[in-house]
Amino acid sequence: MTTNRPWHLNTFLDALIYELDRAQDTLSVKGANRKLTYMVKDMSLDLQLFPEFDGENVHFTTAKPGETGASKITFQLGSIRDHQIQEIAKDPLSHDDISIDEIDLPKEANKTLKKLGIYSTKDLQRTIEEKGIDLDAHTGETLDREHLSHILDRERRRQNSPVVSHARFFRQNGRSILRLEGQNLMIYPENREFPVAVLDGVKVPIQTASETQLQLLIDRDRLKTQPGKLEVALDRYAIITLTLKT
Amino acid sequence: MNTNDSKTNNSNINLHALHSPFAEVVEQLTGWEDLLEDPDSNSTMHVESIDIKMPLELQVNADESGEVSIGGSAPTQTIETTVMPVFHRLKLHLTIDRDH
Repeated sequence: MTTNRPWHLNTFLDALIYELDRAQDTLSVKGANRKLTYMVKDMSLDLQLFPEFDGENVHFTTAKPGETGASKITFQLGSIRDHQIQEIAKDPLSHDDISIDEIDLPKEANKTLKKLGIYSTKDLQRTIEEKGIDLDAHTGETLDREHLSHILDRERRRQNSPVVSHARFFRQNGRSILRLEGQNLMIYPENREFPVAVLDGVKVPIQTASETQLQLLIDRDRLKTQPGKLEVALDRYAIITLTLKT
Repeated sequence: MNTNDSKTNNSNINLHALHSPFAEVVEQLTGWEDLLEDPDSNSTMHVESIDIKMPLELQVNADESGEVSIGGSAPTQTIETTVMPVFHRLKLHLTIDRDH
């Protein structure tokens, strides 16, 4: 015997839309064979339900035979065409985006963001950086700002991976300098802790650092006997590793 | 097999037989494709749009994981007895699909 379990509104609507899509698919096949077919332009459903609130979510139980005093809830669904779906639907999560469910966020912060329609780091970036919306004003400061800014920085780094295209030694004022050229090397110029470079575990002084170029003071003679492993931390999220030989 | 069990099983089968997946209910309500033809005058008529308002029995099943499936049917019982099914209400507005 099936039990009359309570259900959530979004899962009910998903099931209802799935059923309507199935019906519409059948009608489309029928349309290929018949001259005249009909489509469901819109639909409304009045349901006899018992809503319950458990302190966090509202769920509904469908009224059973003999039960009185149910609430009536009306759903009105309109049909839309493919191009309209593309216009209003959220883009699916792309490969360079991260769902907020995969980020180590406190449960409360996760819920708060979802309430604001923010489901991925790109959504978050768009909201804060592009649209300049002050989340604190809308969330009663329940979100940890520092945590969010780390997420945004990581997202920015994910979209702008560092690339080293050239590496060469040159001498300047009698000192040997390794110049690394590329793209997206330093994308957080405001962060003064970085870059940090170590050659075989020994810290290497950095002469200059920019988005396209890094100059490191490296004693080239040290590399004559054996290759050296150079590691450059560009920020908290990106490390370049190079093997240097002369 | 014990008699009570077999009764329970039968009532289960009947319950499911009464309710089709909701998609099938909608499909049945959209089957109005036939043209109205008058061979004498050689003219045809067709239905441009249809509005259906009807009571509906619904079976909303939520499984343990919270997934919901919806079954439904037109009223299976019209004579009032002590316990009547719950009638929800469905309104459908159908129009000719000119894009197919």
